[in-house]
Amino acid sequence: MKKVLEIISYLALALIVVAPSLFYAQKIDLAMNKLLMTSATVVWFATAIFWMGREKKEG
Amino acid sequence: MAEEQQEKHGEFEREPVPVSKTKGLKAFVGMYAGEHCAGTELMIGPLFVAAGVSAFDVLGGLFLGNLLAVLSWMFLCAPIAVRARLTLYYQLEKICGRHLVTLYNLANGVMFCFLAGSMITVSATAIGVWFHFPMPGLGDLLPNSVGWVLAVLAVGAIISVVAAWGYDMVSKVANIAAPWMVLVFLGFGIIGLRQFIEVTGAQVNSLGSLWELCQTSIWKGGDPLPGQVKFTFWHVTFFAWFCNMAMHVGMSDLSVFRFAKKSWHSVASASGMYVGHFMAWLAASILYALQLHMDPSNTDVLPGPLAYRAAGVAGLICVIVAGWTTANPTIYRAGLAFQAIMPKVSRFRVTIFTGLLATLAGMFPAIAMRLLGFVAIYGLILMPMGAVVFTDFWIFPKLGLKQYYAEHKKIAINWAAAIAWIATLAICVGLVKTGKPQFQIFFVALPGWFIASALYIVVSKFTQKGTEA
Repeated sequence: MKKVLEIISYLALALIVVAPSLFYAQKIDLAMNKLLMTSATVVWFATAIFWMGREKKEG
Repeated sequence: MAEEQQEKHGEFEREPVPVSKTKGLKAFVGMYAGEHCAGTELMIGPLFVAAGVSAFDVLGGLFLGNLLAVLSWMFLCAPIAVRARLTLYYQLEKICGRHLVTLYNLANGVMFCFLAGSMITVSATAIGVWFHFPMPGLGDLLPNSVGWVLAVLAVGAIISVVAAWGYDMVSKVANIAAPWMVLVFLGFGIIGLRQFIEVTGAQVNSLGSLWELCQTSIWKGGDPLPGQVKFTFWHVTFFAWFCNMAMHVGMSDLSVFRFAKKSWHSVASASGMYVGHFMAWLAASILYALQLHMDPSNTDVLPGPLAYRAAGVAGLICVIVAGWTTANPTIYRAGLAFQAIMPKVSRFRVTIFTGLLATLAGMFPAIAMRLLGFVAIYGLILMPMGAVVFTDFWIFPKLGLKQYYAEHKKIAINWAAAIAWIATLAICVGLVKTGKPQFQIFFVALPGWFIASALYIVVSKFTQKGTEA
């Protein structure tokens, strides 16, 4: 489960920079860029909190 | 909870860090990248544009200035940090005596309060986007609306209470936000660039045409906006070098690098410099240059609206989180500095008091709108003590002078250090007052470092007469 959350988090993080890149390449408009960045932000915080910075339990 | 925190953050306060507790390069890369991608970056980038920088001056100056900052960490701060493995405060106490360190703590605490105030100002500009109250302009020094005062008060109060109660929680949020924030900053730059291409109709299909756009539309150079100092290549270089002067030349990061396995691990500071103080400043400056291009009469430096226009709600969250997560440890550090002066008052009360002081400072846009000058003053005030630590550590043994003199003589004030600090500041202020361009506040800390070192040596020669090294 943690691995899945981690993958989703990284995909959201990638979208934060992919959306502006698509806007730069004129593949999406500014409104869509804002929507994608906001959605990615929500997903990043909602998922990263469950795995980021948590130490692995030994034993 | 509070005691637990104190223990955690007060590790090895009065003893060298044992080798078993040292950390590798990787531990410092993330720390520096996160810490130097802060809310204030959203002010500094635009203020460069307001100062009339040209494309070559800002890119070249930032490259060189950040390099000099990294080298300062590597060759001034870290070598002492890994040899002594002490906090700056303890090392200063041994050199300067308890009373002088108290004065240093007071100066440090007040500076941290103002810095945290500007971070609260940045976060409050995001609130303005939602509530539409009048926000301060570039030339405003006083609060200009009730809405603004209430927004700063609300943001400041929340930050203060959280700093007092939940430092660990915010530190966790800051860790999670750091990689996201860096990419949002990068996004600002990419979006701003595209919008520039659209509004100017420029054809950008090569590095040459991109450079042309940068020179003619983004960082055009020329006169600064009214009330701003004109920034040249050297202004940008020295600003980038000295904006963290308190930390490298001023030795505040002895407390950080005492945990480094090797001195060269301080090269990790490059992550903070080239991500936060290069990429983030440039990205923020592009957004502001775009605003000026679209409406030259709109000179307001307001990170909230700038970020919202580029990235919508994600941009606003970035502004709030960037201000909040960096104001929080700053208020905490200021609280620590003040608590050292009033050890009997609880950490909670001191932090709340500190937070309210920062909030009061944040209501006055003067600090945020004059951030370039304030940051230079901040570095200058704390720099002489860094020169004292450097001289005491490396030069005193060669001259036969006694290191850690206050500890050796069991005195509360080492007057040689006190005179070096106060006289250096007086001389530097005098140099700035001459009005000569080479002695502007942005440059004067360089001769100041040599003055402080020389004064400390000369006065110590007198005060240490008869003392065996």
